[in-house]
Amino acid sequence: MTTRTRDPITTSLWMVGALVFAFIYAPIAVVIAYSFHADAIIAWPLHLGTWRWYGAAWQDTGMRDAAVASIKLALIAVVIALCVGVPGAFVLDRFHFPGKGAFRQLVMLPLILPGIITGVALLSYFSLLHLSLSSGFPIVPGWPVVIGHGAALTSVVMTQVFARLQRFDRSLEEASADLYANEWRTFWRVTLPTIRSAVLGAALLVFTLSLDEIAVTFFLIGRQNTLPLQIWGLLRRGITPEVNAVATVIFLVSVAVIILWTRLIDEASVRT
Amino acid sequence: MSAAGREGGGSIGSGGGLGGPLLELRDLCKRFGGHLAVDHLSLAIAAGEFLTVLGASGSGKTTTLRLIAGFEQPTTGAILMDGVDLAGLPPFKRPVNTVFQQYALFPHMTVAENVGYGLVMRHVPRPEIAARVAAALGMVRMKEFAGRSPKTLSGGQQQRVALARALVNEPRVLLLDEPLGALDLKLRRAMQLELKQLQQQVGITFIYVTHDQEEALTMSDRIALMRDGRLEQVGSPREMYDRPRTRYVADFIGETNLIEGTVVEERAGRVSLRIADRVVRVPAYDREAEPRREGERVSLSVRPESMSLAAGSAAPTDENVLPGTVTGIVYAGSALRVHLRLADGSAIVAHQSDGVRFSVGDAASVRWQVERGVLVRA
Amino acid sequence: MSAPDARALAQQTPLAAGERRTILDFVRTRPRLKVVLGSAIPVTWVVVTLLLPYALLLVHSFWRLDNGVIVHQLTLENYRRLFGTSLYPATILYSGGVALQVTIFALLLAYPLAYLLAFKVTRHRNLLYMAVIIPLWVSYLVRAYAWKIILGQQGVLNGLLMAAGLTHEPVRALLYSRGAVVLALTHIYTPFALMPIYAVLESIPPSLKEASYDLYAGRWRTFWRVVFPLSFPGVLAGCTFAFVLSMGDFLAPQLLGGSDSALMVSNLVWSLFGVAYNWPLGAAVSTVMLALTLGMLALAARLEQRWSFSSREREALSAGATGAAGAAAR
Repeated sequence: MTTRTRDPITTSLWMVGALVFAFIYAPIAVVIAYSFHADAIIAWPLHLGTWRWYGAAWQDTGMRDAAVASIKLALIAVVIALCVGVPGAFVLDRFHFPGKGAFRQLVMLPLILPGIITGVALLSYFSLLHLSLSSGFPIVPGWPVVIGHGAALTSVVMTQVFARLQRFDRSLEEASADLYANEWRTFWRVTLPTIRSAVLGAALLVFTLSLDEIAVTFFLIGRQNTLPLQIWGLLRRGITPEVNAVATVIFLVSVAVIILWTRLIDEASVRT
Repeated sequence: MSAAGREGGGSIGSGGGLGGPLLELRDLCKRFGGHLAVDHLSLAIAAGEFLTVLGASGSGKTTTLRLIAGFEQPTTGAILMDGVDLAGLPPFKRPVNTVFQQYALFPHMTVAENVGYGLVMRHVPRPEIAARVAAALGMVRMKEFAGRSPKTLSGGQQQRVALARALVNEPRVLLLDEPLGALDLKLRRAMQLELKQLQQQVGITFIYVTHDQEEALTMSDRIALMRDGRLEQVGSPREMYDRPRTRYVADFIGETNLIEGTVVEERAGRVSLRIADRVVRVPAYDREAEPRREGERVSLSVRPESMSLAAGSAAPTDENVLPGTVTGIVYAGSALRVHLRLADGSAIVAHQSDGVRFSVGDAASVRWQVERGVLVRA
Repeated sequence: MSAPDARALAQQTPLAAGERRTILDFVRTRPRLKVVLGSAIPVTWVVVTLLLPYALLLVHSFWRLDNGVIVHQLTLENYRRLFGTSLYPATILYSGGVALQVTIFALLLAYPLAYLLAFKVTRHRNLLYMAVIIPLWVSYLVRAYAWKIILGQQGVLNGLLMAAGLTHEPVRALLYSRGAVVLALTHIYTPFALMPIYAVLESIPPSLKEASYDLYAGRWRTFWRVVFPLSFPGVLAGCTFAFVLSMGDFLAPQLLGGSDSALMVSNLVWSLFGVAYNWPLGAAVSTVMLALTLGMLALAARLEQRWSFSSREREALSAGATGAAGAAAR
């Protein structure tokens, strides 16, 4: 049991911890603060007091189109990631075949490699296939970028669901089979409900990551920018607090989604 | 070892009211990689019987159960129900249900939903499901828990729900995989009794797997003892206890003294053995093709409770006597456990409930009735 | 259910012993076929969208550029340029240097906080942990560009310094420098490093520390001799993440590095695939980066194997086996 002894070592440990915590959050706080800045130029000192940048961001059609494109892309990416990742997780958990180790490593690559490598690889791949970056527009923001997000983020679902499956009690499936349910019904009625929170959590995670994806997207994007790329463009031209407003909104949305995700993960780990 | 399977009190076809055994395992083998978990197992199970498959860990008993249930497919051999081979049929097409060791209750369903699951899968009409679930829960005395989540139940309660969930489907055979292992001793004893009564009430064939020989003796109509994937012996509890065929069986079930001796002769249904300068007689029960030869080394099994102690070495003609020295006395409540050493160094344990009090170091003889000794194979 | 009824019901077979066999049953009894069918979709997808592109990148690095057109002839020209001139190796070394600095700082920042969370925080521990982790998943761009605001000539830091009287005019060198890049990357990757360290620290059974105290070791020595060695795998994982990711990072150097930024590897790849338009050379640089990354990960995995104790071993050694009833082997 830890007794709260106020000795110098513990106190300094607490101080260091608090400083690091502040270090992690300070820049974000700065961004949020400046989204209310009264001047058009971002400079010290800070003059709080206006919502106009939020209004400006809302009016900015380029920003809005980019936001729509980002959301579309994220939703499609989630669908792909789930359709491929969930079966993939089962394959990793249940099957044995030659090359399984290599398959596993391959799946991990987009997660551990710098995104730029994956982006560049896909770019040269699609150009060789003569698949235009704008193909499929305006239904999808471009097939290459859709496939790119799907490819990069499927790994997230696969690893998350695989981890959950490892903790899954196989005898539940056997009991279901024993009670006259075939594989499909067992999956829907027993397996899926039990791993449901891991699947949902992974889906939420993919959604957030896709919204914020830059490296792969940069190389594969066609005519229509996604939100991060739109912001990126603005940044290079010159920062107005409008960017701060957009960034703050993105931040808050992402935080909400992630909090939801952690709730699901917690629930999953309690149930087993 | 398949000979052992066919003997032991007429196991094949006994009690099969439909003419022939309900379930027959024929030369069943299951190999996992390089390891043979079930080794040419042949066994017939009659309808309505309570058969226990007994064995140590790794004996293949659970694998055998899983083969019958359909969770594993045999490498070779057949599993016949009513004469039809179940090979290739997945578990959900077999009229067999399982009670799992860890109960495997579905955590996201209520008790009632768990119990009704099999009926839902077989498209039984809803009102009938409700009635049958209620009846099954009543049978295991868990009716009030119908709406509860399995996570809120104790081990014993979960076990009863698992039982109800299996029985409600009225399977031809119920398989139980060490269901009482996780319960404490008192609860286990109570559940053993309940299970036995339930089986007699419902009349379904129970195949029960355990490593606990006492449990097997208490509950079974017949016991099949497995060792390293093979059937060591099968028979009623009394047969297994009184007439073990091998050292392993004698030692596994109950406690016994195993004494080695040399054959002197076999005559008139009795085998004479020389043990440490004495001659004892043993009934020759197993009808071997050839009688035992002189000079053969064999093992003799005598249960401690069959032995009595005496000071001298005289004995009536229907008893055997072996002299020895007392090496230890242990008080065990209802009896004394007296440890002795024979002239040839063998260690013996005898139970003594009354009679002469011995002390460590005394000379004493053990006596037992000739009929109580059993020759066992190595 | 009375006994005679039950017996009668048991005699009727709800399912005959031999149900209809279907083609599915055929597949079920052929395990290899089952594997092939079941893994078809995921494996095909992964091969088509990951294996082929990465492999193609490798092939691309052996092609060459001829008057602005990519010619599909195999040549070692790109690699000769890579290793021949000093520019590219220097860039890789520079990136490695930056990454190393980031890793060290991240480790120094992450470890105390992780330790605090694992051992000193009792209430709301999960909440605080989430609070530390959440920025990880939140817009990377936002976090990187925040430093632009802070470090700019008219930025927050300069403003504070001047207000405090420490300087009289804005310090130019804050932004667009190697320092800015290192600072921003440290900020971004500290939570990344913290996660595995926290995970490992949290899994150390308290009885190990107690045993150490019992054997006359004070807090410092307990830390160095017991806690830190056990936390090594987490430290290794955290460092590996921080190093690999910051070495391959390209946004922070672009935004904050200024004229120095062209010297990070990923910026090189960026321009080769963009403005400079030399895909084969860019592919070669990427391949080298890929090989380096994989090599480092393999090295880290090797080290981790030698140094880690599975949590099961640790529990068995410290708590003794609490007899697992019923979990007996088959």
